[in-house]
Amino acid sequence: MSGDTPIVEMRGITKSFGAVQALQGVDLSLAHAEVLGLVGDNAAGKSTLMKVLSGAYHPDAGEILIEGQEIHMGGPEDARRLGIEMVYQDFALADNLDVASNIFLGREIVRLNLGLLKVMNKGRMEEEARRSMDELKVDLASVRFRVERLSGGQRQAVAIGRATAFDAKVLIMDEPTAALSVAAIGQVLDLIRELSRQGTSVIMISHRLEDILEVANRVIVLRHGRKVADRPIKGQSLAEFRENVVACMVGAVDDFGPRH
Amino acid sequence: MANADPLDSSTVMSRLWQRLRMGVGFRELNVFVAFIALCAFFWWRNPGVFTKAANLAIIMRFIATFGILAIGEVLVIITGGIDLSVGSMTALTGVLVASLMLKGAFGLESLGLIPSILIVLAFAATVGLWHGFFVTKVRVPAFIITLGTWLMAAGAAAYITRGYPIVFDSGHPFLVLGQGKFHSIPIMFFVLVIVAVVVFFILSQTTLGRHIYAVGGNLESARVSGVHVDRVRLFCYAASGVMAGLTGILLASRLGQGTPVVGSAYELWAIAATVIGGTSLFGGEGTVLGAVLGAAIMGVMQNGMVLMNVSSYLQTFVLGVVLVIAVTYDTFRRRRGR
Repeated sequence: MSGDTPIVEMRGITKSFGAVQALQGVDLSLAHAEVLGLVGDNAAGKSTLMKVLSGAYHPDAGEILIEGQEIHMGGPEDARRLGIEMVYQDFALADNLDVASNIFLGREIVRLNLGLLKVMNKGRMEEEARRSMDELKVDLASVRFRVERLSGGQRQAVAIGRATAFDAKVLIMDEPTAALSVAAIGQVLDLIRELSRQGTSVIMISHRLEDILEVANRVIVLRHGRKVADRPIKGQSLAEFRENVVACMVGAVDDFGPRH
Repeated sequence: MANADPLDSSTVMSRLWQRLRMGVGFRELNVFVAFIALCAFFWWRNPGVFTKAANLAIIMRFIATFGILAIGEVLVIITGGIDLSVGSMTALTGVLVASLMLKGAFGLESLGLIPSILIVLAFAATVGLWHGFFVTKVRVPAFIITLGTWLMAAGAAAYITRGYPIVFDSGHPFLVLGQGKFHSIPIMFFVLVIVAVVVFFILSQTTLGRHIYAVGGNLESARVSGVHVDRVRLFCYAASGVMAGLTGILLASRLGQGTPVVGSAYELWAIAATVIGGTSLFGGEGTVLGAVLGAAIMGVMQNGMVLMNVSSYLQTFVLGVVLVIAVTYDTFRRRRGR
């Protein structure tokens, strides 16, 4: 482990879509094995910031350091190579492919490399997909089922399995508990705690503040593409926590704003 | 694993059933059964003639022509695109290969057989890349950009030849490709088999094949999974171009001339073949086997109706009916499958 060097450091990230300034110079740092909650109103820039970190978007300005090294990402495959995985809110699965194919999509196990053509090792991918699903305690008869046949919970499990099957250093989860039953939410939160215990850093975007209070060490609040709060979470009641966070979300409190 | 004895017959059966339910090979099985039934029917109605070697060769040439086009088409359609240019491209590439071999072009002397074929295939691949470039970078709908080529290729073929065919002497070695046989099986059919095996292998066994399906299933998911979605689509359009070029070369050899009038509406026949073979025009679904079986069904029906003296106008009508039945059946089956 590299001591106090944060595993992720984002500095001054700026991103516009046409006339819309989605991110205006956001800083974010993430320590090893830390669980960070990322909150903000709709269109505050949470998903955009995470898509920059996962390589899906290129920032207009700003730098990203992984373990102190500045990196430039050409696309999601670069982020994945660095151990940054993202579970998208819509799960980003290909419905027409089976579970194993989805888990290994974009990084299939190759049996024989013929240059342009790479022959897949389907058997091993199915075995490892099976193992990954078993580790997540997913009730799934076969990893050969097409994803379109799965329930919402199973689909999410596949999306999480895809992110965790490859020893992620940083796991980004966009609204992982939004569409789940109470029991399933408990499972996801347990999983986040377990990953953190194993040394994985987790960033969790959520509207459910009780979930963030339960598992996160720290919370960052975004508002209109800017960071307005970055505070550790400790020993607060849900009511206090909610009051503090909402004050930041609506703009009543701004830790980084211009001094009045 | 905690599974039961893998050799237990009920486990085997349930696994087989699972595979069928998952659609692996299921649709092709239906189409195959329909194909066999049609063959049996036409054999029964035309005893003696239908199975004659000469007649089978006619059917096989038909299947080769539309099967190769349909294989190119199915690659593009799986990614959610379409290639309308292939009919005119068969005419243009046929004219080009004849022109290169017999007249020379671009100020060059007439070229040899192999160089001419390679140049035409490279040209066809370039046209395909051109389509892919417009679809992925300029973001023009595939329908439009390939329709543009459909017009341009038809125009270019007519312009190069001024409407007159470029005719090979009988006995020209080039004619073996389209007219030759090996053990009474047309050489063209072997070309189809080779193409089908190669593309089947790519689609089912390689990462490229899996990425082709992923792009058609969910383009954005494929992209964030690190799939090079633009490269994948470029490959498919280029492959479809090559298939059109190959078909153009084979037809020029078959007819003994490069002529601008071949290939009319072939793109629609190729698309019909893929659809009869279970390909979804919405993308994400389709197989090489289905495309070839679709072409085979059309070939057998067309031939069988000729043998039964069905009016050629009615033949086209009947094939239209078959297409509608195939799509309707498929749609219902898919809805029930959910």
